[in-house]
Amino acid sequence: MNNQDAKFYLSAYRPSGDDARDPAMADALEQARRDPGLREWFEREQAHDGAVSAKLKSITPPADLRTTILAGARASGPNRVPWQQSRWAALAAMLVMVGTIVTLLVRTPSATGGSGGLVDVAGYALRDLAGSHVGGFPTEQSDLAKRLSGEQPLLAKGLDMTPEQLREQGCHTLKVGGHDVFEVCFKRDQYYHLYLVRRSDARVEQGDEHPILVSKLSKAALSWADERYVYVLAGEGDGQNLRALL
Amino acid sequence: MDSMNQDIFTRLVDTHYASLYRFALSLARREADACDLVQQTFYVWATKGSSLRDVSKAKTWLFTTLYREFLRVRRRGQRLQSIEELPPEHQDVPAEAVDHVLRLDAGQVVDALHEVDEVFRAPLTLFYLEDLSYLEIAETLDVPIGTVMSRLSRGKTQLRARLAAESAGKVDAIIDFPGQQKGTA
Repeated sequence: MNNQDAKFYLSAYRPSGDDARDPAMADALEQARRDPGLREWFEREQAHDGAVSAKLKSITPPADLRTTILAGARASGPNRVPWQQSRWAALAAMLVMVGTIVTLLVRTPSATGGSGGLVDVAGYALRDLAGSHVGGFPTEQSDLAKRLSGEQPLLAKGLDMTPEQLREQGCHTLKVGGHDVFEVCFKRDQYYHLYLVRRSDARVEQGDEHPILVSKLSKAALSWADERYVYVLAGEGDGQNLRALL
Repeated sequence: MDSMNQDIFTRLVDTHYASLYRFALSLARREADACDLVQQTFYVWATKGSSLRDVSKAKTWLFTTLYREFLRVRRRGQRLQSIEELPPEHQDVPAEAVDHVLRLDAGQVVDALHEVDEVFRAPLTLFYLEDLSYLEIAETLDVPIGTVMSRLSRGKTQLRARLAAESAGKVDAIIDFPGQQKGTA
């Protein structure tokens, strides 16, 4: 191997040294050891490459990227209804659902007045139930999920937990439209899904404190609000089972 | 996706999403577009990639998929570079080049990388991220090894010129202490 050949390979030699075992690289390295001029060139090349590499690797992804990827995957398994939304606007059906919750609650006036917004929210929760959670229920073992799985959750009293405490419970926290949507899944006779949006982030109207039940195709969702959160509880059935959890 | 696949998926995300994001950022320039590319890549994995039998190939698969997604988005209206426009093949690193890099922050290095022609930027970024060998970069970009080497070499030459320009153009701000006026002791 001459110096020109060695440079050909060594210019692709990673500063981490991970290529040392590559046979062609090993020959090129040996050539650099033998030739002072080539060695000097290689050392300077590596110093520069290492400096650029360190700068590039110091860039950190946005804080919520990992959460978003995992949430998107949960909703995109093989049993999922084919993805129909535009490619970038809807990365996961679940994100669409929670995004719609926030959008409806925050931005869209109720068409019917009063609880109209919450009815729509419950409707979207029903759609989400059709194929989501194919990836499992990561929050199932949290204390909150166990509490909700217990004798009588009494959800009508609301959850006396701060958003920080919800996060500590492992609730999925999705930042949509600048607002947090929390989700906890728990098991009783079936899996239930509880979504929470801060009331201050939501468009809540007078009368929305009363639970609204929406059912469709053997699925049901119950929506209500208290002074802290807007809640959407969803599950299989005609809704009587949801009412029993209040 | 069953719970085992979910675990594998989570590990894949944890292992590779940061590097994929950096690669995407160098290609797409904008943070939001980079996030979209990474999310789309893992979405493709969740729907198709989990059928990949050899999990050890997952890293290359993910980088390949991200790059293809990027090309798919960019294909329309993208002008191919003619050979006459190519920068010269490898040039030696000037003695002061390392100092140029050290003087800059990461954002400025990325800015300089964005100035490098796209055809060189992809292999160059993959090289600097150090996740892939030159053989894997060739596989990821679906080009011969010689092409990877050539593009790395030319890309480095371009990048060094951009970094030098970036470094030369950087003027540290002169800031007065509160209550002081410029030029007063």
